[in-house]
Amino acid sequence: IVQDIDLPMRMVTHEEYHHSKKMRDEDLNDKVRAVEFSRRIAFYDEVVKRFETQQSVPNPMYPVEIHALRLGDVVICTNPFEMFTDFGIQIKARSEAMQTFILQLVGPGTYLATEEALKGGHYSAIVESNRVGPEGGQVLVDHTVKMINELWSD
Amino acid sequence: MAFAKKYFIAFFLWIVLLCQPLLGSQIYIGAQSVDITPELPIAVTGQFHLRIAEEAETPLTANVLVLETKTDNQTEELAVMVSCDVLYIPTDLIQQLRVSVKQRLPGMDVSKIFLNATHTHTAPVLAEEGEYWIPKEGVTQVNQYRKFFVERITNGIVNAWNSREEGSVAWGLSYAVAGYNRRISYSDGTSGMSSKTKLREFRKLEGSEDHDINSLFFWNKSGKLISMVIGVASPSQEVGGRHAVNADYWHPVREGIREKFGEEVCVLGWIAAAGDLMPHLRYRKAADDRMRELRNLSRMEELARRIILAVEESYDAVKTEKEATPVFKHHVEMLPLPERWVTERDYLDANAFVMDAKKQIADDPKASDRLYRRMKWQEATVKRYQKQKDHPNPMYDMELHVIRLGDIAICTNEFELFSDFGIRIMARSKALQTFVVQLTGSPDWGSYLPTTKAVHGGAYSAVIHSTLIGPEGGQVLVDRTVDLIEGLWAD
Repeated sequence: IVQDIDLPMRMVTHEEYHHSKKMRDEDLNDKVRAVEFSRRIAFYDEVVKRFETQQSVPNPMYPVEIHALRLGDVVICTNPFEMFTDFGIQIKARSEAMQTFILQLVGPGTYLATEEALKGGHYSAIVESNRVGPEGGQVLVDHTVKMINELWSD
Repeated sequence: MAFAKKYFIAFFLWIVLLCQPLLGSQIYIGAQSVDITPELPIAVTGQFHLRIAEEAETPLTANVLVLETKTDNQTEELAVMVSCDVLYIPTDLIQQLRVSVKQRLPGMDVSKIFLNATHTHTAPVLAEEGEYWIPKEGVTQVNQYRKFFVERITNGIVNAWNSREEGSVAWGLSYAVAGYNRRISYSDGTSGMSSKTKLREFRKLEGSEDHDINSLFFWNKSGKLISMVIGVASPSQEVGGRHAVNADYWHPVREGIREKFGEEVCVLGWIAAAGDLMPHLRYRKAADDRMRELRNLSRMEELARRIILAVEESYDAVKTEKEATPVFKHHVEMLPLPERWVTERDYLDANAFVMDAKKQIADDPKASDRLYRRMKWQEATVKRYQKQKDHPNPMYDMELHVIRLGDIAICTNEFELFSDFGIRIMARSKALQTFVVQLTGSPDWGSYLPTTKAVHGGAYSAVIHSTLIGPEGGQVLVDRTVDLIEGLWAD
C-alpha cells in the first residue's frame, strides 16, 4: 500500500523565531560567512519562514509518502525522516506481522523526535531539526500500524 | 666511564622507583567451583507465591575466584569473589561466611570477600525468616540450607586460596543481546513491569538496555585457562516460574564454556546493573522464537549461544594480551545511602493490605501460600514508616567494593540496580572497561534501585515496597563509585 498523509508540523514559538532570525542574519550579513555557511543559513531560514507561514496557516501540515509492503510473514514500512527509535519500536510492537522492517529516510529527512527528546533539547530535537514534532510522529505511527494491520486483516 | 655507568644505574633505579605505583606485582590466582544444590524438597524463592521444588533440573553452583598480590611473601592485596546461583544473598549470611572463613584462614582479611547472586528465581530461600510460610516438616528448612551454603562456600574459598599460584589475566569486551528492558511506558504517564506493548497506549521502553559482555580470563603459570568471569546485564530468570531448582541460563553457559575451553574452567557469572532488564522479550517475540526454533534450541540454549559467542570473540582477540603483573587495588567501604521516604499514603495503603492479609490467613491458613510473602513485603513498608518517626533521615549503610585490576575496574552494589545507573558509572569511569556487579549482598530479600522516571511511572520494581533506596540514593551510589574508581587511577 502507498499512501500520502499529512502530519501536523511542529509549531515555531516566538522565541524560536527570533532566535533563528538572529542566527540567520548574523551569517547572512557577513560576506564571507554568507557563502561559507550557506547550509546553516538555510537551516535557520526554514524556521523563520515556517513561523511566518503559521501566521496565515494556523495548523500547518507536512505531506509525507508512506509505503507498507507485505511479503509473506514480514512487512516493510517506510517513512521520510530520521525517526527516533521509540517510534520504530511502537510500530514493531503493534504490528500484526511476525517481523517488521522499518525503513527510514525514504524521503528528504529531518529528525522526528520524541517528547522526551524535545524536553532535553539539543541538535536533532530543536525546532530547526524537526519539521514534524512528537504529535506528528504519533500520527505517523498510528497510521503506519493501521496500514500494516490492514494487510493482515484476512 | 665508571662514574657514568654508576650515574646511569642510579638514574635508572630512580625512574623505576618513581614508576612503582604504576607497576603491579605478580598476580596469584586460585579458583574453585562448589556444588550448592540443596537437598530436596525445598522452597524456592523469587515469586510471591510459595513454591516447593521436588526436582533439581540443573545443579546450583558457587564459583570462587581468589586474586592476591604479595610483598615480602605477605599478602599485599586480595580479592575473594564468589558468584552464586541464588536469587539474593542476605548481608547477615555474608558476615557468617566471613566468620567461617576466618576460622579456617585466620590470616585472611575477610572484608575483601564479596559474593554476588546471579538472581536465579529457582534457588532456595536464604533470608533467615519471614519470606514465606514454609511447612516445618517434609521440606529442607531455611536454616539448614544456610548452614550448608556457608560450609560449602567456605570450603570453596579455602581450596581456592590453598591452590593459588602465579598466573596472568586478560580482559575483553564483546556484545550479546541477553537482557531486554521490561519496564513499559504508556501514554498516560504510567509504566508497567513486563506488561503488554501491543497496545495503542504503548509509547516506549522506559529505560536503557546494556548489551555489553565483559569478560576476564585467568591462566595459571603453565598457561592453562583456569577461570573466567562473564559480566552480563541480564538477571537469570528465563525459567523463573518453575517449581524446581534451576541455575537458569548460567547452566548452559557454563556447560558450553567448559566444552570449548576445558572442563575445569571455573566460570563466574556477574550480573551487571539490570534491575529493569530480563531475558524475556516484550515485542517481536514470534520472530525471535522462529529463529531459535530453526536453530533447534530452547530459549536458555539460545541465550547461552549468544553469550558464549561473545566470550569466544573476546577470548580470540585478547588471549595474547595476558598480564602477569597488573596494578591491583581493592577498596572496601560502607557507604551511607538515603533511604526512600515512605509517605503517609504509602503507609496507610500498606497497613490496610497487611491487616486484610492477616485476616485472610487467619480464616484460611492455605491463603498464606499466595499472601504471606506479599504481606511481609508490605509490612516492611509499615515498619519503615514507623521507624521514620524517630529517624527523619533514615540511611542505609551499603558495603561497596571497588577494585582496579590492570586497566579494568570492578564495582559492586547490593541492589537490583536499574541499568541507567550502571551506564552512568561506566560512562564516567576512568577505567578502560568497568564491570558493574549487582546483588552483592541484600537487605532482607533484596531491593530494586529505580530511576526517577521509573518512580513516576510506578508499578512493581518502582513502588515503595520494592525500593529501600530511591533515585536520590542511586545517584549517591553512582557518584561515590565513580570517585573511588577515579582514585584508583590517580597515579
